[in-house]
Amino acid sequence: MSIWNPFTNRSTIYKESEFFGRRRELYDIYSRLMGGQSVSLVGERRVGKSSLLQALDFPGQRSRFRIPPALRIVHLDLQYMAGCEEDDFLEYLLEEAGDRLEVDEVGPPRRESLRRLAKEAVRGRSLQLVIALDEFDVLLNNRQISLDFFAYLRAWSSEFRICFVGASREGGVERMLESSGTGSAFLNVFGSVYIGHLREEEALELIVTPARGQGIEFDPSDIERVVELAGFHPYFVQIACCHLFQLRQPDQPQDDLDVALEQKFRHEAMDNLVYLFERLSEEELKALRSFALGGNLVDSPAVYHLERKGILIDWQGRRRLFSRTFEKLLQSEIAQLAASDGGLEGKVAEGLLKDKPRGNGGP
Amino acid sequence: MPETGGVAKLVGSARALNADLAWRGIDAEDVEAYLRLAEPLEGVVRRTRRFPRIEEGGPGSDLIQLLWFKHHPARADLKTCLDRLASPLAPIRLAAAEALTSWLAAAETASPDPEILRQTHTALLQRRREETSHLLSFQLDGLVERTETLASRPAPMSDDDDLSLNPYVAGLPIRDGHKFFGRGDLLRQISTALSGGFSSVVLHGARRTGKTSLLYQIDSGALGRHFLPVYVDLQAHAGVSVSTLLGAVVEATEEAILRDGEVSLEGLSMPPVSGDSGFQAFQRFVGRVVERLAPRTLLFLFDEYEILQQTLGASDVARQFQALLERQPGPRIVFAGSQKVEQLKSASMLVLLDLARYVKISFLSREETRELITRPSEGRLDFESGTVERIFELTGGHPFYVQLVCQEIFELKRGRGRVGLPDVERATRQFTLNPSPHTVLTWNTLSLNEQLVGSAIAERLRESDWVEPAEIVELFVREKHPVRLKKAEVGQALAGLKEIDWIQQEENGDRLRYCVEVVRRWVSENRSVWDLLRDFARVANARVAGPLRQLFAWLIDMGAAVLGIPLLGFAFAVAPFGAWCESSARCFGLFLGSVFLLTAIPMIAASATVGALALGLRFLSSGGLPLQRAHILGLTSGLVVRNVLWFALVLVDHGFWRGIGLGALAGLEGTNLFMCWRDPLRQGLFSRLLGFLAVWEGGERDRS
Repeated sequence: MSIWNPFTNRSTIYKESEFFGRRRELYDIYSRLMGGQSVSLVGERRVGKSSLLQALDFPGQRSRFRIPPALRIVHLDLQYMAGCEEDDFLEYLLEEAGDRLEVDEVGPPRRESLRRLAKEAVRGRSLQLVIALDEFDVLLNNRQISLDFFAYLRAWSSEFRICFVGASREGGVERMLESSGTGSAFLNVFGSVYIGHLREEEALELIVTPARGQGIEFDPSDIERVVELAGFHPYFVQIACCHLFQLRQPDQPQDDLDVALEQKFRHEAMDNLVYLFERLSEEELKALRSFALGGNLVDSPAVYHLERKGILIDWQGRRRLFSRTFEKLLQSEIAQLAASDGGLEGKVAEGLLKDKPRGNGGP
Repeated sequence: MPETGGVAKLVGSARALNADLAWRGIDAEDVEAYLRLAEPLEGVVRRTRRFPRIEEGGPGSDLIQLLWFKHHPARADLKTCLDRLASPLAPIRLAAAEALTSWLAAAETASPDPEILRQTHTALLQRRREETSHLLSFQLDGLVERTETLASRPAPMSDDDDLSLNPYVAGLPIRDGHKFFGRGDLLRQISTALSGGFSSVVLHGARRTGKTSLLYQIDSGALGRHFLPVYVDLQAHAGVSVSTLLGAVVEATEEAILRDGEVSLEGLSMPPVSGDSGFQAFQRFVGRVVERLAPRTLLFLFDEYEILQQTLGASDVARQFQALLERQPGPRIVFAGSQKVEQLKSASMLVLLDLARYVKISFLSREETRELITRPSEGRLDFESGTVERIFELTGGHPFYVQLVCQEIFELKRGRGRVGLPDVERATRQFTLNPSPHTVLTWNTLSLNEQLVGSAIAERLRESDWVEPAEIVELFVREKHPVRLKKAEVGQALAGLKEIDWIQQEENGDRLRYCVEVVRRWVSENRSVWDLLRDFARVANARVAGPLRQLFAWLIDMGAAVLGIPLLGFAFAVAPFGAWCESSARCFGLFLGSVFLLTAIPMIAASATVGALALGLRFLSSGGLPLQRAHILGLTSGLVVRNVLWFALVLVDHGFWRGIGLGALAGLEGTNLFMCWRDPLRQGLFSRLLGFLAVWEGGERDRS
């Protein structure tokens, strides 16, 4: 019996051995960074943006894409910076950048120190500095940090060709910009790379390899079980595999495996599935409703977004919702909201049940 | 031969060890005993290149072979090493672990088959579970982790991973001359202006049109040797004092002189100064530099010049700067920014720019766009006939969008191959579904009217279509949008959209269209008029208080009415001509005046207090954007007047007016309650009005 379950990752992955797939995304990010373009990683919550930030500096990935040693990536977790002031951020940045650039004396937490550091390392030693900002909407929304400072960061990055790569908590660029306040001007220099679900072969690798490493071989029916529940979404795949791995232990009863697995998956994943559901736009909900009721999907931005988010997937030659549990959630919501009219779920209900464009009045 | 001798020696040792290991129980934790046993052997196996094949076998033979594997990892037999980890004898297991450690260290550079690594990992895990010794368990943990890391390491680079640097950069200004295309006419205009009597030039254009890139080119000598350019990014000095800014300009000048190398810096340094004497010292410094450089001209390149407004403030420095510019010979300045001179509010800035030549930077020509598209990826991307023209049509030659579309194309093609029209369409589609932050940010800075007009035009037009301004007003009626814009409002909104280079006017006519087709597509697909109005209502609703606060506000409001009625009763009792007024509706105004006079102070004070309290409860100051004081005063006064009118109408002994009063009261409160009941957030009429006002105010503030 294997005690160690290899599918317990629910947050950022820091170990290369636990990171799977994302070759295309890494290619895109490296290609842009090496060309001098700052990048904002956008995608739904829990899709693995922060892990991807970490993966940029994994030795294996660096060697695979032949990233030169002169490119130094400084990781900053900006959750620490909530409510902090400019000096705190500068201290953190200087400390981490100093470590990565092998500069012993970084000076006091002042703007000049940042410039001096870049001058020494970037100009003097021809290093290329990339600053990876995790949860960078925390920084953008921090009202203690002035617009001047963001302007300074922009000027600094432009002078020394320093690139930023940021992962935000929010889904898309638009949502992040809606919520960000003072720092939005800083985002002007960013291009965006969308991080969606894993590709099929990557998801299969994530399902099979860690279990095999623990001496448990998932057979094709197991793989099907996981994909039925989790699609190719890395977070949900981890959850489904975690429970399947437990259930596959020799001491576990193998009867009603499907029922037990779905129950456990539902129990753990439901909050996030609901969150995913609630974040759907009205058009996406309409497309899903039509699909759930057996209608055809027409090519539209909403369908494209659903595919990109991994909510609609193609599996074994047919298109389907990524998760059986999600499908049930959708159906129960449709039934429930059709029965009731309004309430707090009014938005969802109206989006699902009405076809006409709604106007809540105007100015 | 030493080789044969070494093996023979090892064979002899193996026989002795077989017996020794059999009776001497060395504990796995007893490292010293193990080393005493292994070290003499290691000296021999290290030198022995041939594998010591020992026929009789036994633990001694195993130990020697494992030690040999340790020192010759490239030839180690992995299976043997793994098998020996199960040996009951601790020294054998220790040697096997060492041999595996050595093999894995070699594997890090040799890229072994991942399948072998995975099997090794599984076997090690199995052994780890069975191992009882703490020391060996620790070693096996390390081995498990290393094999896991190696097994999951990505496969060696394939052709697909061959990273082609994306040569298109959208966002950051272009420094490298070989990536910069066009703008020859602008450089000529600037050069002519500066040589022909203008002491400064204002380079103005919408964001991301390439102002900074152009300054970088000037900084690199694009205007020729006649100028010594000094680039200063004022963004980096936002919020600093005048003396700090001057210090930064001096530092940049010294760096430029050093880089140029033609004149020496000796005797040019400016002492650190502050206060009023700061500019005089700066003036002297600049004077000396100008003299030393002559006949060349010192040229300051001030990027994001709007920041100077804040730094210079109301000081005289702008005037002093102007005086410096008027000196002959004197320095010259190129100011670059996205704000038009006429929009500047600082009088001192206007003084400084009074004699400047105004140069507008806009889009690239068709030929310049072709260069920007094809040259950076020359030899890698091959653009089929018609594709470059299509990119020009889609971007209008806006350098930022050209770079953006090309960046997407480059990624779609993985940096090589032929680019056809379908690739261009795919790249455009990528953009509309995943827009650049710049586009969204620009949209967010627009006023609601600008957004509505921009959205209506985008929805109405097809690619390259033109629209008459009058048609836009009709659009809202025809499409049955619940909003009507007046002609003047549309005109104002169009001016705003032209300002940011989103809309252009026909050269010899009034008709309008989107300058950048990809932007039109994004607006049309993502920002419909219906969406805008819905979002507006949503934001307005979010700005007001929740149901409980609403209820309290309503109770207080009603309480004010209840308290007001006895007050009014009192007014009636003491009013000198109350009775006369009661009989005649014609003198209602006079009656109201007397009531106001007698009850003005307590009534207004009480009503204003409860009004403000109710207002405060109803309005949730979200996002740090409370209502302006003037609006709060206005609303409170409105409440006071409303109350007084109601009380008066309700109390007047005249059926018609009382009916009007009660009807108005019932109508408004009924509407409020009905809206509360219907709305999921329980927000009624008053709350929505407040929300509207807050959003409107927020929008005004953002724009300013």
